[in-house]
Amino acid sequence: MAEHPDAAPPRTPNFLTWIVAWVIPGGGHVLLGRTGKGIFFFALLLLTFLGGLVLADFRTIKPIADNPFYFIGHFGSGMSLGLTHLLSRSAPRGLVPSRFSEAGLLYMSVAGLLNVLVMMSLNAPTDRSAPPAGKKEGLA
Amino acid sequence: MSPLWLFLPICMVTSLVLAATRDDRPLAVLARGARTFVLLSLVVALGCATFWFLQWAQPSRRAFLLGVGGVVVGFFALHALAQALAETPFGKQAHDALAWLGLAMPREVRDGAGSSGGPGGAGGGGGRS
Repeated sequence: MAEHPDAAPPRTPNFLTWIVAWVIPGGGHVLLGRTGKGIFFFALLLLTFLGGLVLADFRTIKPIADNPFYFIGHFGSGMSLGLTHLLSRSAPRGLVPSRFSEAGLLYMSVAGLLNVLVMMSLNAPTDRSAPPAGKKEGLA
Repeated sequence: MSPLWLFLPICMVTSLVLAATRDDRPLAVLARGARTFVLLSLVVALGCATFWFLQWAQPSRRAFLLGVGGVVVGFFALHALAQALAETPFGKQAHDALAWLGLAMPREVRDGAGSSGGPGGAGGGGGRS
């Protein structure tokens, strides 16, 4: 098989990679050797989730009846699902939700859903590590 | 209701993730993410404007359904128009603009993608320059 001189052959994700990618955002990319991108995804999604937690005053959606959309969003990554489960077992901090609780729940849900997108990019062929030969490097 | 500016970080994060899934070069990710961020913010602003308009106008159920139907029909009409104009010079310029914004695949990539799938990548050079 001929090898490309300018690019390493892409590594295909296996079952373990998918599991790690679901549990830890960006973990699948790290396993595939794309460490920088994996750390980037992890930091971005973790910050989004933590920002949502702070905005929501560390309240989380527990039963699906509270809000099915936000609840389903937590299943996007094991990290958000686990942290949500752990935090929902603790006692609520007050009876009145904070002013930004809706936005906080949205942040947490989006962090989970974006991890699905990150997982889908594990074997996406559109990744470009270098511009193709003979083409100018403009804005991608 | 949460303040509108709280949606901006969500748009920013989403834009960066979308950009990073499509490119590996940091500067290209930032550039693509910035463009997608502008677009997403506009979409959010449009959604909020629609929401506020509906609250203000209080349309009847019939008028609301007619409006939604009009939007759907209008979308498909615009899509058909775009398809018809795709091969004209205007259509090519519009496609390039969309590709620059990250909403469409660049024509060179799109035209080359169909012929580069074979073993050895023998057909990769078919793109227009």
